[in-house]
Amino acid sequence: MTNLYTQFYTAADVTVSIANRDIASREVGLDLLTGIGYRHNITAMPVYGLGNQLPEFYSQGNSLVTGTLELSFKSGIYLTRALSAIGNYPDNFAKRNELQSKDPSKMTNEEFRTLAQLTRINGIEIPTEESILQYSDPCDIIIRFDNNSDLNKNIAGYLSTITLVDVRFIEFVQGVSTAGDSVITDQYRFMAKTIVARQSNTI
Amino acid sequence: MAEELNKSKYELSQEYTAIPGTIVRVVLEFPEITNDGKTLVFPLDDVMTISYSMYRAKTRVVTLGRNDVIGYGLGTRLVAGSVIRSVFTTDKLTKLQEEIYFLKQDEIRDRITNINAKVPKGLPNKDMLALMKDDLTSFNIHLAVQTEELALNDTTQEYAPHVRYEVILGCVIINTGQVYSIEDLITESTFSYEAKAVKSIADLTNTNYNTGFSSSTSMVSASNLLDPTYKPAFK
Repeated sequence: MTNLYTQFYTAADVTVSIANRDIASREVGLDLLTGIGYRHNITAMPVYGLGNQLPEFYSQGNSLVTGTLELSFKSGIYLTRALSAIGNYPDNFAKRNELQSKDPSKMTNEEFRTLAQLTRINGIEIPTEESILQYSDPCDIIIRFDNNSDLNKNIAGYLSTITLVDVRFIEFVQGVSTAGDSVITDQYRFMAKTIVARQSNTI
Repeated sequence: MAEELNKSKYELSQEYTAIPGTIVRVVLEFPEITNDGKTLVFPLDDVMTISYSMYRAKTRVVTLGRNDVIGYGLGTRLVAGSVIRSVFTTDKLTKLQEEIYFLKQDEIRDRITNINAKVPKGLPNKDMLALMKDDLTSFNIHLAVQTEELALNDTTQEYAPHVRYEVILGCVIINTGQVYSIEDLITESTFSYEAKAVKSIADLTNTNYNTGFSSSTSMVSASNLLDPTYKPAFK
């Protein structure tokens, strides 16, 4: 395509990852995702005053993002592994490192328990078997739009990201049926606090 | 860029060498098929016809107030094609299929008796009646063309055949067909496949060969994390 056309985005240009909201480098790409949808709502009411048929102002209500994430099933612990790896406990990293550097023969039972718990939460060495719904600490979902390539420099869209802030997974749905030959998909419903959209002007 | 494109224009004085089907060699490659990561490569010498075509979903975008298409959204690409083979009494692909099946027999037996302890006891085992061509793993089809006619190579100043090379990457067999008939002097066997991409190479010295898959990525992917031995390189 030349400059006659603009190149718009399709699902083929979108990648999604989850990230630790405090440690930016802790990000895991969700490579098996087949779809993501979300909506951001804020409740607001018109406030009227006597003698004016138009609202004086709008009340500021509650913000909530709700959405669904759909992925092709590969493993029962696919998403929990990812959440476990990005870890949402930055303060605990220091504690864990401190405990790990200690001489095990001089550790108390309490310290052993704490270390075991911290390793379970923050490390990926131990596979988690808990339901995704037990992962109560929020993470961010980052959606990247990038259709730029060397062949379409002037007509591609702008590299953009949409970040769903403080995501909490609240529902997991899976169904298996012999009807049809469709791939088994997992559906995760989530809530988030807000959406942050960014555009990179560097490309 | 423009100069390079101009160079590749057809010139009136140029000779054109056609490519008849008789000089096309077909080579199948099963990348890293064995447990120890070895690749199986063998020429498939009974192919009579091979075809591929490519489809790319390009969605038109028309905005209000315009009567023309202002742009496109580039969607998914699908490569698909078919292979028609002459059935001889010797058939490398069927032999391979048969060998894999017998290897599989051992694996099935191992699983049933739980010798390899790979699956927990009590899991139902699939009884595999036959391993058919659609059970084969993905493979690459190499189409190597080398003309009988020699041409002077500008760089090396040596006479060499014209070459053209194409690789159909990531083929998976979707359909197979077979007919025996008293009307036929030769028996044909067909399969059709879908694939990831086709790589066309005019200059063999100017390309990097690629097996069609890559595990390198700049970002840790959740699939990587499923491997218990994988350690993510977070900063």
